[in-house]
Amino acid sequence: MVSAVRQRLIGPRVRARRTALELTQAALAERAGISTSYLNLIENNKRPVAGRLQIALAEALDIDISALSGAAEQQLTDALSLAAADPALGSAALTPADAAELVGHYPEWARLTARAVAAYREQASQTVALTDRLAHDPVIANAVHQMLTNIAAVRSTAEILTSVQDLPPEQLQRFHAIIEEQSSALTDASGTLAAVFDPTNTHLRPVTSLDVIEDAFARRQNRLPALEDAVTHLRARLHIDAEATGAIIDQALAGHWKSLGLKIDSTGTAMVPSQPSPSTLSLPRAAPAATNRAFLALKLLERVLANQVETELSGELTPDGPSDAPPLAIGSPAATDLRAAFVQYAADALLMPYGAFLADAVAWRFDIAMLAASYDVDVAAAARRLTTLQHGGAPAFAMLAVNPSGARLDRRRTTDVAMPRFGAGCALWAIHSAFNGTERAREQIIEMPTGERLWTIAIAMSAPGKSADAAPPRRAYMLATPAIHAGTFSGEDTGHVPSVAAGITCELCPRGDCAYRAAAPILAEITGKA
Amino acid sequence: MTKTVLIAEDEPHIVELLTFLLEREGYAVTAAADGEAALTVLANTTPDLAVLDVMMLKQSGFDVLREARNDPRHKDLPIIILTARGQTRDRETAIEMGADAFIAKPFSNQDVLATLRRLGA
Repeated sequence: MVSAVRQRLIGPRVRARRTALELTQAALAERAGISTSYLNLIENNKRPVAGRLQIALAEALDIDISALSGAAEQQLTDALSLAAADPALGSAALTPADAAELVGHYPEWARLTARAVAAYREQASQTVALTDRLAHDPVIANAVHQMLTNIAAVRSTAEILTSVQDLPPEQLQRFHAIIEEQSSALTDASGTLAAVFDPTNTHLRPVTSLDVIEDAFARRQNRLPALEDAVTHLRARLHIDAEATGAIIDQALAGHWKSLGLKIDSTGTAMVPSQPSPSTLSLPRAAPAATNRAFLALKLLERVLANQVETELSGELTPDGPSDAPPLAIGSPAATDLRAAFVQYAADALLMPYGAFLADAVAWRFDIAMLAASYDVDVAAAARRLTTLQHGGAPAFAMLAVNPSGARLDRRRTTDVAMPRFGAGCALWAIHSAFNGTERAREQIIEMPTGERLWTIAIAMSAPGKSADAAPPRRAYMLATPAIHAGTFSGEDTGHVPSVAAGITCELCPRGDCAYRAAAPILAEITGKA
Repeated sequence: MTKTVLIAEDEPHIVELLTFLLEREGYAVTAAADGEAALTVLANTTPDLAVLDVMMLKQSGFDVLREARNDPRHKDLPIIILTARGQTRDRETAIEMGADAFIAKPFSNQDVLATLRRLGA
């Protein structure tokens, strides 16, 4: 059913197209098989357009029916509404209805505004990312450290040469050699630093596989349609419908694995699945069924979707790859890790079919624990899947995964939210305190120093231990999206959700009175998003 | 009696320059190229002062500082922390861990010598 906002966009669009075709209302009404008065009501948003009437009007206006569905206009309206809600940009006087009117009556101005907001957000995001990088990039840190050490040696030598008059010739020669060697090393270190700031490197250079994966997914807005389609076809071929239980999925996947001439061994005593040889999977009965299923899905898709995954990966490997990133070297660890991430995406899609997962996620207010339990997957998989939903009308969630030391294990960003790439995160985020409590999801509203508010959902989990004696590895996940979405899907008042004044990292946060401060801020004021 | 100074620093030229300066001032210098070597020196000798670079391989200057303060023989050893990382956090960490002075690179030779004299070495 078309939303009320979309509906309001259709009338002006019909009028605009009719006017462009130089048709009178009477002429268009006749073409569409309706009365002139009814068309007038439609153009003034007094009557809905759907079903056969939508088809008839689209044909009469010689446009694609999607142009009358208002989907593109809805997306534009949503973008403008978000911008209006941003404390750095908008005004409390602006409403979504205002956005809809702008889109309906002045679509080009609306698109211009949306593009300007997107460009501003991109610049602000780059500013924060570069600032974060200045504070923590190991390449920069090492280069600066080396330069200071070289300069210390040159300075000390120069002071000696200036102050000591009776140096033996060989000692004098030795000190001159030190100056020469240290100057050469200083040149190398400064060259390294200069390369970091080369103007041709206009975007953040990935430092780790984690960065490469995050960048690749961000370019795709965290969704891989080709792999989604391939998985959908596979589920259909294996007769796995949306209601399939875990046991049915296990049987279907195991059957397909064996149909490829491969083996499954369930006799092992290990607590986790493994692949002892390329043709054999060990899915021990002692391991949780969900763990075995996830592993089987991963290994099966690694084989049956190999071509599709390589196609996806090839866009990152070619010399003409994404213009905003250096191409990955074929066979490099980063390329291997990215391939694995694409396969993992497909496995998540197999176990959590998009449409059903989206509906459940919205119904359950994105409760990660409930979603994980319902689809019998681990929290990590549910968290990853939640980041893909923005294309279905759900909020665009960014994701962060950490271990108990705060080390980042996985990361996804969105246009509106980016997790810190370098340095320690903010200790006030619930993702860190999640380790202290039970494994239930916790909501939190984070108020950034810029006034921006994020709605976050954090949860800790224990991954399967490798043996009965081994302590299970603990991880925590956090999903974040602008707080404007917090009450959108449940209609509930979010006043009960704890709110905290926090930041991104200590170095980027100006809150001088924070009890958790662990480093001095490097900026007195934060501009843009932080 | 000649006073001894342990210099733990992984940049050989810095070691050479500090050794030249200190020996001209009448000190005897023992050099360690990394944190592990510095701990070995502390295990076997009792220097009168130590200069520890923070960023070293095989144990940082902070690791050596911590071990020294846990050793009854060295709990009062005057220790200078030397580092290219002059951030406030490093300075505070050094003092909290029991260092007696903090010198940031690039240093002045006179500052180094004045600090040694101030610490009574």
